[in-house]
Amino acid sequence: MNTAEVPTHRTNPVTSTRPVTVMLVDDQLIVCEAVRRMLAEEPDIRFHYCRDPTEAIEQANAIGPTVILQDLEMPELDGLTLIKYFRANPSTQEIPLIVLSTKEEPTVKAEAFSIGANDYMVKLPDRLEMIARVRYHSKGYIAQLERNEAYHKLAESQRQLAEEVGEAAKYVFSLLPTPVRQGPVRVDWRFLPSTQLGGDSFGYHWLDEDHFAIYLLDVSGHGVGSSLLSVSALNVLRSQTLPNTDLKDPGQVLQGLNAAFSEELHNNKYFTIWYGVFRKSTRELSYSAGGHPPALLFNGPHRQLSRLTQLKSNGPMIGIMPDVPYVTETVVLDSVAKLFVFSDGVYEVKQSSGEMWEFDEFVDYICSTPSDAPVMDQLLVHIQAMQGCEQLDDDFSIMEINWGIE
Amino acid sequence: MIITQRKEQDIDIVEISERMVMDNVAEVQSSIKSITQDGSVKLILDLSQLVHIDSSGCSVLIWALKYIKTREGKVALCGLTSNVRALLELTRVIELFSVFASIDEALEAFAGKSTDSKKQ
Repeated sequence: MNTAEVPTHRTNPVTSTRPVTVMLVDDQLIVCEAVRRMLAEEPDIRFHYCRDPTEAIEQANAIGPTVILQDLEMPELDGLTLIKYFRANPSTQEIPLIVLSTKEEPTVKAEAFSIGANDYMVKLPDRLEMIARVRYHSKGYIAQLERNEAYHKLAESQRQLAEEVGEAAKYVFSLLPTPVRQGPVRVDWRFLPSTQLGGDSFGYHWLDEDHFAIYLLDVSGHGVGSSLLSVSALNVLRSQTLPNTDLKDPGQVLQGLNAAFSEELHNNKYFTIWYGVFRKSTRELSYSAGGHPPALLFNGPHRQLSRLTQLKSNGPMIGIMPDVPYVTETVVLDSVAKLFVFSDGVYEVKQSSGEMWEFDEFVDYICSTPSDAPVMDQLLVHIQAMQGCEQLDDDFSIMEINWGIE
Repeated sequence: MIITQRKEQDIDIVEISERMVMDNVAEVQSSIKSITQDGSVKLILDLSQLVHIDSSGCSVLIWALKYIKTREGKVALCGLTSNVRALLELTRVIELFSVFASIDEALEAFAGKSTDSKKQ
């Protein structure tokens, strides 16, 4: 279900007032005159005629009739051939065509229909019948034109919407920091936005020589609006402009964000966040979370002995409760430590069987993957396979942070 | 997702089943709006058949709470399944609501003295 607004096409002043436009092709002036008189008193019907069938296609292209009336017997061109020309010409091939002929033989009628005529009247019919048939065919054709027009507008607005989402996704990508391959803290990440953009963003940077901040947030809802809120929160963290807040204290940061975004949030949007700060001198990792799934820490004296701790913190989602405290938790990192910070998009996966993948199953999967394997890539492939589709329903965002052995 | 609605006395009971996620939250919003348009604006959301909810679903619950409260109404949740409860607890959205084990308990609370007491 998509709730995005698109321009409305229900009322279009051009198409809804499109007049009934008749083009008659007949070499006899008297017939043209007779038909003109039949239609003359109908204010919504415009009438054109063409006495030279060799010019009929050209004139029809210029006039744009909503119905064509044509004779079968004309000196320069056989009427059945002209029907074929009308049907081969792109701008006239859909226009309803009524044969107006003196011939009454069923075989002639059948042949006319078989090559593309829509109706057949033996001339000259009664005025009321003529008007009724002209209106009937024109109405169907005008409705078809309006449908096509509405479809094209819809397709165009969807294309524009997709383009906007694409631009927003590019913008989010441009704000994500490059992976850190060397040094005391090494970070890599994978980000695969959903087609509608799920509102994830993340970042990390040194706050000073001793403190390294890591954060990931997920705005509820989807689309450009969620994404913009996500990057505005991200920018507050990147630019370190949260007022009266010690950015080295995760609890304070979340409290600051909660104060800054509670009032501003509109349109039913909130976000969850995990925010951690690593202190190099003490090897402490302090963290706090607001409604966010726990980060996974593998910690130990060496790889074989690393144990999993779920870094949970029970602060509420940002924006739903003003003035609540957010607690800072702390854990000390051992010689070898690996941390995964992610959004719910990496485990809330609807499997092709219809069953949801659970958080605990995700944790088991991460634990069962060898620590030197490209876990994030394997995870992405795994959930794409489970879902039976490469494009995921929600943003896939995960960071892997490594300390210790390079 | 399937939304069904019935009325008991002057209370609207809305059952939201299957999944309440990013893709269908707008439908929940418009249903709740139209269901509570007339009447006493007392709403019980029966989530006993809801197997999955995501953060967008949580947002819609918060929206419903605010929407009903601005109209001076009351809203309660009941029948939370373990999955739904887990996310409402993780985000602490659960603390914003009166939560009951069953529709009957919620009805009793609406009819009686207190809707603030949290049960279950």
